[in-house]
Amino acid sequence: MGQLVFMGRTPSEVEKFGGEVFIDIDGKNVGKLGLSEFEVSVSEGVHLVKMYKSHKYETFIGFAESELKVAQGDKLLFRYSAPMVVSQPGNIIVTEYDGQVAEQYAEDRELSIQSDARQDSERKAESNRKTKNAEFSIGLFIIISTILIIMMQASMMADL
Amino acid sequence: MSTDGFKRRDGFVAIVPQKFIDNNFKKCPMCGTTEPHWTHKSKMGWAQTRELFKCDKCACIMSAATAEVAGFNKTIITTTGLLKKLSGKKNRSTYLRVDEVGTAQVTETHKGSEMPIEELQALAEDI
Repeated sequence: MGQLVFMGRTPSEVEKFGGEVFIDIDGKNVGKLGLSEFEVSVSEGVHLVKMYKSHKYETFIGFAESELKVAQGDKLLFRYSAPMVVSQPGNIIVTEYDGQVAEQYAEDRELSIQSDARQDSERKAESNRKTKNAEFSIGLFIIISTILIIMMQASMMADL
Repeated sequence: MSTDGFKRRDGFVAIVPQKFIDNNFKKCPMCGTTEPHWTHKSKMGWAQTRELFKCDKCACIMSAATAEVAGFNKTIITTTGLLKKLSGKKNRSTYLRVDEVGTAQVTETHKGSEMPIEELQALAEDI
């Protein structure tokens, strides 16, 4: 018997990507990936592992497959990454299982997603600030121009 | 014509924004289709009018200020160009905002982002 361990999703991953990640082994669904590791025992031999993610309107995206030979006593770690665009495939990275390393992978992924999300929101805030500045300046320019035109016309009328 | 007001401008009306999007985005930066068949509509704001572009395949919506699309902001000689420079943007780049990410994006990371055209074109090439 061999052990297949699937790295759990991180809270940020669930928040950003949503949906649920499904695991199929040899064409049969064996479960969904939660926030913790998911372990399955398999017999020795070649197995086809397929992972995918649910999307809107009961559809599935991000299919990723990995065919591998499991030997007696093998313990393998599976890391699934969902795609950013629905038409792209997902990705599975398979490595030898090591408890500490697996935890580190999960922590790194969480930090990486959080850091990217923070950078994106900072970039958005910065561009919004620039746009607002430009809009405010244009508005101010229109108001000042209008006042100046009215004053000029009023002074011309007074001269007449 | 669609009910949301977006339509192709293949005639003489609004040909400038239609040509702008067709020439600059032969590939949609949100879904990657090479046949985005962009549709267009204008939206008036309190300070400026924006040109909205929608991809026919994924329904993403990108927008840019009319002065940006017309190329008036590429120089500081124009009022809007000068104000663009003062707001901290590069005059040489045309800026577009992703108003809706459409159906092809899994996350809403790009929603509300205003990016230079080069960045969006690079995004399209990556898909």
